[in-house]
Amino acid sequence: MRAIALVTRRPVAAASLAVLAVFVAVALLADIVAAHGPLEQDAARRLLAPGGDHLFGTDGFGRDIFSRVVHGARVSLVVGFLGVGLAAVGGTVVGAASGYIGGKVDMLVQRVVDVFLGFPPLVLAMVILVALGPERTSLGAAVVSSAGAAAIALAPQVARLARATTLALRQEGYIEAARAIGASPLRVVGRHVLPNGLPIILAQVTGFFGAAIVLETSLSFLGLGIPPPYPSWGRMLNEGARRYFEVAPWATIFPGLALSAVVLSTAMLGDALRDIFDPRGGDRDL
Amino acid sequence: MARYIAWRAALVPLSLLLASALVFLALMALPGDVVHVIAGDAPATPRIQEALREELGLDRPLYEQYRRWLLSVVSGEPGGRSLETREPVRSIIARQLPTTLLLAIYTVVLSMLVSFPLGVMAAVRRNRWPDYLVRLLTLASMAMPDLLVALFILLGLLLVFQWSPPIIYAAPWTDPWRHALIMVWPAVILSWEYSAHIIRVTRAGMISAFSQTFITSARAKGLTERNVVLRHALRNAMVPSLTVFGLQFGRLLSGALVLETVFGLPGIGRGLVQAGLARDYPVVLALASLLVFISLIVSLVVDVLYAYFDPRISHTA
Amino acid sequence: MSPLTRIAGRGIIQPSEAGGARLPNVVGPRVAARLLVPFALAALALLSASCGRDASALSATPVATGAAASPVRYGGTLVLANRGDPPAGFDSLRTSSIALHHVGGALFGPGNLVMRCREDASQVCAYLAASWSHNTDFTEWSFDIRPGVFWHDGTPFTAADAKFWLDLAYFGARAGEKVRAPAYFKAELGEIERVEAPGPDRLRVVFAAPNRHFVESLANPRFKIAHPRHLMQPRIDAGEVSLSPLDVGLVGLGPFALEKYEPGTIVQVRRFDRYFETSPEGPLPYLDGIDYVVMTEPLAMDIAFRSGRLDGGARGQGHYLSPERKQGYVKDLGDDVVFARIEGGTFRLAFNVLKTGPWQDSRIRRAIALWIDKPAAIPAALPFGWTSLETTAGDGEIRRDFVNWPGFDQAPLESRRAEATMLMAEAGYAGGFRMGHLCRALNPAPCEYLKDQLAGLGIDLTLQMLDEAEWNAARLTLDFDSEQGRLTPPSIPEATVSVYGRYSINPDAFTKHEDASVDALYARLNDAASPEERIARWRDIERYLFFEQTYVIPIAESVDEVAYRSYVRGLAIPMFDGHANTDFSTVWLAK
Repeated sequence: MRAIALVTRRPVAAASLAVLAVFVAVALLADIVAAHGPLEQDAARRLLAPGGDHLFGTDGFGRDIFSRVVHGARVSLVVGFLGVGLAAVGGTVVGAASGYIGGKVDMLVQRVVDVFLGFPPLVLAMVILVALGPERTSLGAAVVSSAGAAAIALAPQVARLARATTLALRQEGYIEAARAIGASPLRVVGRHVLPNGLPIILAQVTGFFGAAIVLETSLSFLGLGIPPPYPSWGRMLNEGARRYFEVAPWATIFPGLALSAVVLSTAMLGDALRDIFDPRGGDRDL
Repeated sequence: MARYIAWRAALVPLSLLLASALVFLALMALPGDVVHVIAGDAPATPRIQEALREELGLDRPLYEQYRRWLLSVVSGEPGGRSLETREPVRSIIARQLPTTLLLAIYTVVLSMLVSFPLGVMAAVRRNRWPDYLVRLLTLASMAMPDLLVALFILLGLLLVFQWSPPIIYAAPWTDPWRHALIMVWPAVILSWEYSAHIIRVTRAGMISAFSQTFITSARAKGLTERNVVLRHALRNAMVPSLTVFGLQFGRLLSGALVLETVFGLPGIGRGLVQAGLARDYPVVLALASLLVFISLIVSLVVDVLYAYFDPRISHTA
Repeated sequence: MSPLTRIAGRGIIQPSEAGGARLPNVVGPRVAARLLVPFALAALALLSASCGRDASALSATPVATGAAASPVRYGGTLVLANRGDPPAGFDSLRTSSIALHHVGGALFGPGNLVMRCREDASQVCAYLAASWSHNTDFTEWSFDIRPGVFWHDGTPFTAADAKFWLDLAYFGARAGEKVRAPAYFKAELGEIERVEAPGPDRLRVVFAAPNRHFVESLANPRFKIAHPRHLMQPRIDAGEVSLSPLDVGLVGLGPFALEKYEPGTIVQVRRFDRYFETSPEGPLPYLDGIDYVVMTEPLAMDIAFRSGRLDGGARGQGHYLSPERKQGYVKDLGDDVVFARIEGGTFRLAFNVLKTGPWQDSRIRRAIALWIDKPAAIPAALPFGWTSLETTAGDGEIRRDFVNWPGFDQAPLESRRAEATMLMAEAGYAGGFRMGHLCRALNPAPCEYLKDQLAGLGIDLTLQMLDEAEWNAARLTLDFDSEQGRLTPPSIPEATVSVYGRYSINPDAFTKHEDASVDALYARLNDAASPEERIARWRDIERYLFFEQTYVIPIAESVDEVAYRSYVRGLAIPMFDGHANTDFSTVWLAK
């Protein structure tokens, strides 16, 4: 696609894409890449410094941190993709429809969006996670519910953006023309508004990827989120920081670096995409 | 415009009702209730738990509990009492809201002071080292979770100065110096995150404004660069900046959970989550409704300011 | 503290003859411990006396570091961290939370009519009651209320106040349509028929069934009198049945009176000048006051302590120290910090044999018990714990070895595991199976440890992470496969029927079963005529529950550690329970 070519021409954006690709590859090949299992405990080898058999050292249970970071990538990436994906779809539909229809409907829908926007995302996430009951305590369910919580937290922002974009595009000439020839609203939105607005929305939501992953970190702070013993960067960060940071900083630093790398990459990729698709031109030097 | 504001204001109570109903239903759907939290570790036979549940009114039908709570909002004891600690909701709000609001105000002020100049500078000195530095700092703030930043600051202070911030919170009118020493750290951390968003958006908005025709014509007319920058480009960048401000303010109020917990601030972020975990529904309802209310007001203010900054957006359609 | 230690006293522990030789090196197999009979008898003789000791003849107790006793100093304010806000309006009848009792000790005293002696927590000492007696068949207990006891507002404490509290605890209250629930610990008090106050200084409790061990159950540091009759009774009768001590201004009987309470921030208490307890050095308490700072985040507490803002740490799961956090304390403060050790809870695995699954077969449960590597649980799952015979300085008390307690599984790990594998195959589950496990989200480490251990047997332990509210609710149902049970069992062996008895009578039992032989065993325990018989019959119960049926697997006993600055003297250490010795009346500051 032209977009990918445009991205790779920019050094910083290309680097971000490469980093993300590495993480995705590592996550997919986790079992091959990691020498130890992420759940194997060894009480005699607790809190070992990086080196030798354990590239990143071991944690409080003697588990290999490299393996846990690599397997945790799966969790974080799925939560990110799923959460952002759900938010993008849901938010776009609601926002575009509301913006296109306009009038009283628009105003009412926007008030509902406001309610969700004003809602503390952590409480939302907490409620969703706890409401799913014991079923959520399997890894799959926990990932889906974390993603769902992130989606609900982020969807209002997407809706706002989609609405603003729709409102702006509604004035454009070709939209007016389409309506003049009698095209149904669905067709107008689907064939004209969305394709033009989607790239902008897409560029924005890549930035939300990081927010979704960081939300999972906050959930781990409360003891919710991905249940132990499954590895998740958020939980590893929380445990390492609050329990044994001075004695074994590697247990916090490596998951933290991984988290930062993914968040930064997606943010910069989002910047690049936004610059490419912004109809007003903007910065072309990324 | 006045009609628009009035119409929006009229919708606020409806939104609050909707929000509180949603929260109530969600809490009721959760397994476990406050009775299980109160007893602590100790054994309590189901009979005694039922008796306690009955005493607290938790055995009534859902709509009746909700109705009682709604009625209590307009009564002498608005919102009732916490089921867990027996503290009146009004005193909980009186304690937690000012703390969090103060933190939010400090954050916003600090961010405004920092973001606009930095965003402008980054846009004007685009792709030179000031720009890269600013962008690096903003990206760094997005990549580091609150907990880690707080940890590094606290550990740094401890290891280097053998000092830690005061642990007993004081309001600014009680002990301003201690209040400042406690609040400065979470305020700085929050404003680092908060300004990151504003800087990026300001910079982007200004850059895109620079390339537009009216800027070229302003330059052609011979206006000074400073004039161009401040009056025209910046104005143009205000709309997206305001969007970010509005979106993020709500997060500020409720999302400071980690910082409030670590720095010991008796604020809403921490209070809401603790009440939620304890299924203390009067407190959760009151605090959540309060947050939604503030968010609605902020949203209204932002929408009004939109119209001021961008005449193309009118609210009379 | 196990109920056995409680009834037999903290005697010197010797290796058991029945168990096998004790190996000289500490890394070898652990040996079971049993109490030395003469010591046990001596301690029991003291216990079974009907009259209590006068606690006013108190002497200062040594500190954990074994520092020599120096003359006490009056004055100063102790700054402690507290785990959170005291819940339920400081109502000791509603909650056993340590967040309340850490503060409650100072406000309401170390006990009620009786208390656990400061020097020896296995014994009962007098507190508000100067002495007590019972009738021959244990259906009536009488207490003489000590004179000269005052509430913090100056009102004298009388038997009518004691009656009010006991009535409120056991029967609750009623005002018209509104009903107040009784105390959560009602079941531990026996079957009280009525409470009488025949005189201003005499209290009589009449039971529907004989209650041999009433004072032992009553001497629980959690059962504090926080309810002043003269302030609460009129309002309760007028309809405010849910009145809490906070509502009436936190008027108590303890060594310190409330100065200020800012929810979410601090509880400040100051010396109560008319407190009745004295020591040879003078009136108690020595301190001018205590400030309890609410610090919900252990990390924040660590940093505050290490920078000198706290004199003592908070109590409670999560705030108790781990070896790693402790290192930071020692690094920054060196000799300026001491650590108090508190007996923590038992880490155990309990089964729900009423739910269909392979664990209904006792061979499977036996196999799991044999397989688990108990010493490895420390410190992976527990911060500290019993791993070997060790001594504590000061009173020369020797701890027993708990890991292979009660002495039934002493073979080396390899042979135990071989036997376990054989049992699994015999029961038809050589390939393993899946079992659920209730887990507190607050403390997932033990669960993670169990999951890893059981994986060796092919058992997939599915962890159900629950927050506190859900966990407390789920424990009472039959919807789970296994759990760890809550940490605090009742204090005397007879009362443990509430955690080991049949589910239909005790829904909060650790293990869910309907085994009637357990009933029979407890009936025999209740009929024990002599202290030796009491120990022997309790041993029988343990053998049946933990060995023959393996309804519960005790894995390790944890030890909790709290930090104090070394200038804090007079702490009653070691402590048998984190809820005990929180009155700090014997504490003084050497600075």
